[in-house]
Amino acid sequence: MKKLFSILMMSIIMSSALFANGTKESTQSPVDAWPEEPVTVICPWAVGGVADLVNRKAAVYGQELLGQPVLATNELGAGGNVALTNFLKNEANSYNLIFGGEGAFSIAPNVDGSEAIMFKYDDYVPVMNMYSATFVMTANAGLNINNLDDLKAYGANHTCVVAVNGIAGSEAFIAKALFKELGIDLTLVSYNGANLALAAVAKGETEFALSHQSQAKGAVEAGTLTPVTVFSDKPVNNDVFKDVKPAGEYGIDSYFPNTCFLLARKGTSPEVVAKIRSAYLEIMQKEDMQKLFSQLMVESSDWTAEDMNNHIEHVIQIVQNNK
Amino acid sequence: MDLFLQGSALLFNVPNFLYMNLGLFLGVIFGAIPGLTVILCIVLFLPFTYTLGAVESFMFLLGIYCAGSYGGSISAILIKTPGTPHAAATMLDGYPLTKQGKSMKALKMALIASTFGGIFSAIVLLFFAPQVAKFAQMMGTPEYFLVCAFGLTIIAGVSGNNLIKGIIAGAFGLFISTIGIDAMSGGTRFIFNNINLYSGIALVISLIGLFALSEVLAKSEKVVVDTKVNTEDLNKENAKFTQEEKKSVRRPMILSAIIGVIIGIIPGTGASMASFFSYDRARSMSKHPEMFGKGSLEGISACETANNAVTGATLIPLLTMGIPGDGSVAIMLGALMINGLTPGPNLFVEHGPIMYAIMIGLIFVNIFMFLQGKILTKWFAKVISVPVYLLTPIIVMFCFAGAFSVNSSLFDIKVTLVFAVIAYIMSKFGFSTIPVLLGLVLGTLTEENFRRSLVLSDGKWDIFVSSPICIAFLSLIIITLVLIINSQVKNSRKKGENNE
Repeated sequence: MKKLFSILMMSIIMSSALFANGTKESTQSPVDAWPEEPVTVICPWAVGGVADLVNRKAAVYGQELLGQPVLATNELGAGGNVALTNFLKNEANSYNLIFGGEGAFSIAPNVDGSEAIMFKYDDYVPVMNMYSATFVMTANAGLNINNLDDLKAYGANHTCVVAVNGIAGSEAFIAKALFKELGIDLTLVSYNGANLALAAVAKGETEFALSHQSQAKGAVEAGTLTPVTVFSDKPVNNDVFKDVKPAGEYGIDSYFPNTCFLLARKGTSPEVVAKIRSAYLEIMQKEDMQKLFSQLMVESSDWTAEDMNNHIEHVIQIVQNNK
Repeated sequence: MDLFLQGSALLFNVPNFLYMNLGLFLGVIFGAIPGLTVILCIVLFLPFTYTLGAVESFMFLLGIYCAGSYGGSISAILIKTPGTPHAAATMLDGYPLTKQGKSMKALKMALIASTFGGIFSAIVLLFFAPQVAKFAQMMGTPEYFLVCAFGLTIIAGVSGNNLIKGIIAGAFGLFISTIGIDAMSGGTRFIFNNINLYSGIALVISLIGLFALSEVLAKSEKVVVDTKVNTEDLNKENAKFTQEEKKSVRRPMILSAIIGVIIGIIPGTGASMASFFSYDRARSMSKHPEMFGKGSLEGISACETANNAVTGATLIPLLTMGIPGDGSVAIMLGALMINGLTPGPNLFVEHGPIMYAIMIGLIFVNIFMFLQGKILTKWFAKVISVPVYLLTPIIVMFCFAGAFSVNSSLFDIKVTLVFAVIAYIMSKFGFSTIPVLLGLVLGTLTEENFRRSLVLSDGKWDIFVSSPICIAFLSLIIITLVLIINSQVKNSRKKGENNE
């Protein structure tokens, strides 16, 4: 009886080992089989925000283009830094992907509190840029400032008061760089959100604000704010922002768009990255994705990994020069 | 009038009312369960609205938002554990009523007051949104600071019998609110290189520890023989209001509805401040202030009217200026944008019928909240008949789940436990934990607006007397402080005489 029991136990253990090995093999199957399980894309920012909306809309096409469902999820905390830290627990070729941008990789490591940041850009592989959003500077309509020439004249002997979303946010560094290049004195006032910053300009508490175009759209349409410049090398001309001259046209280059990179864990094979990239590039061209981009006033992008790396480096330079 | 009719035509169809009622049901459940929050409910169900139209999705989300605001009072009244931060004030009088066997009466009062507050603010939104928006435009950073500073004077009213202990507890709350990134300088404070403390401590996490888990710890001390309440007793309870009771709650309800609307239009302040503010005002105006904290219906009516009056008011800055008043409304902003609606002054011009459908819909959200509440209240009231040895583990489980859900972080569960232990120790030394919550609610707002005002004025203090609203609030603060000091001096004299 004892012998029979031992044989039975041995066979159970052996078959378990075989089964475990089989499972292991299936997860380490050739790269072209990737993904064999549903893919999760983590948005480390707020539910209902631009990145979240894009993530959830894109996830709908996961099954069609990756052959597995894509789950869009959010993991909040510390402006995305908690999720990016936790993501390091993933291994290469994992089924988890995450969003990140210049805020996490260029700004956070170069400002106060950087000691708490446990990740670096090299811990991830950039797959693609989901979208780019061009920042715009708006002024209180009463000031009648419609371009950077007007701003230069206004700021010649006047300290300008600029409202921004967070004192260590992208907008703050772009504003500092711009006013430095123009040689105008500036007081930055930090608000808890771009909407509050824009409202402060509309009610005359501050004179200028930097924000995404979509955030300023309502006030510009209503005529309470006027666009001064867009932080791009191309002018913007749409229903709301009509013939707005770009900062690039004035020889200014210390600016950058707000981006949202899709990232995989370091070591993920180039074939897997290429597969995800190809699927997402196709998703971004879908009609309803383009409609969403238009509503949110962001642009789809086909940046390569090199473009993304250059972007991160460029922003680091701006941050370090304008601390 | 045309827009009103077009809005009504858009609103009155079956799916809108179905989604509204589904949202209301979910909102009450999430609001009532300690640990689960309104914002969590909205986050979980938001993706569901992405395929819906603007009116349907807004009815669904408003249902969650309004009912969640009411739902928080249920657990505050029945088990002394507020489901939401703003129900903490309701707990002060709701739980004593439960102990007196009047839980049905307390729940009924909370429901009536919530409905009244909600409908009042919905009417303000529908008929006076442009005027209220203009008033909101007159409020700037120094005005926000003075409103918050006035809010801090409420600490005196919720300190129990010892003002000094109340001030210490309030200061502790203010201290906790400084943890994380300093929004004005970008520097970090007290994070000890821990990424989880980068954004500070979320209000919900501290609330769960301060009120829910600390209550569990307190209960664990007592020997539970059988705390089960006979359900027959509940059915026998006379929940009808006397004429005197009806008369006594009228004035605090009207005043609280106005306070709720005013607080609601100030971004970032939220329902917690409104409910404490109203509670304090109701007590100072009451003929029976001594009953506050011992089961006053006036107290419950004031808090619940105010926190639901905030719901409609927060939509005013959102729809007219694109400024979300609190976290839940910020998420609703996304729901608007995905439907191609950009909040701002032109929203009413470009999408008038949809806006009117939403505003009229808010009135119906509150009416259906009342109807659902009437049915559900009877069932919720039976919670107190569940034996403590069964109820306690369930509460603990939801508390941990709720704390974890905020940032999907185990660290937050540890923070909750730390707060529970702190609250337990505080109660042993006779400190009230309500001032801690007030400090947490108002700390960041007060500090940010104070420092931002000084940045705007280049360090000049006269910014705080730069407008009639500033002067009005400054005067109110001074008068309140004089009254508090005066009553303290009188009390200590009385004590001295009694001792002699």
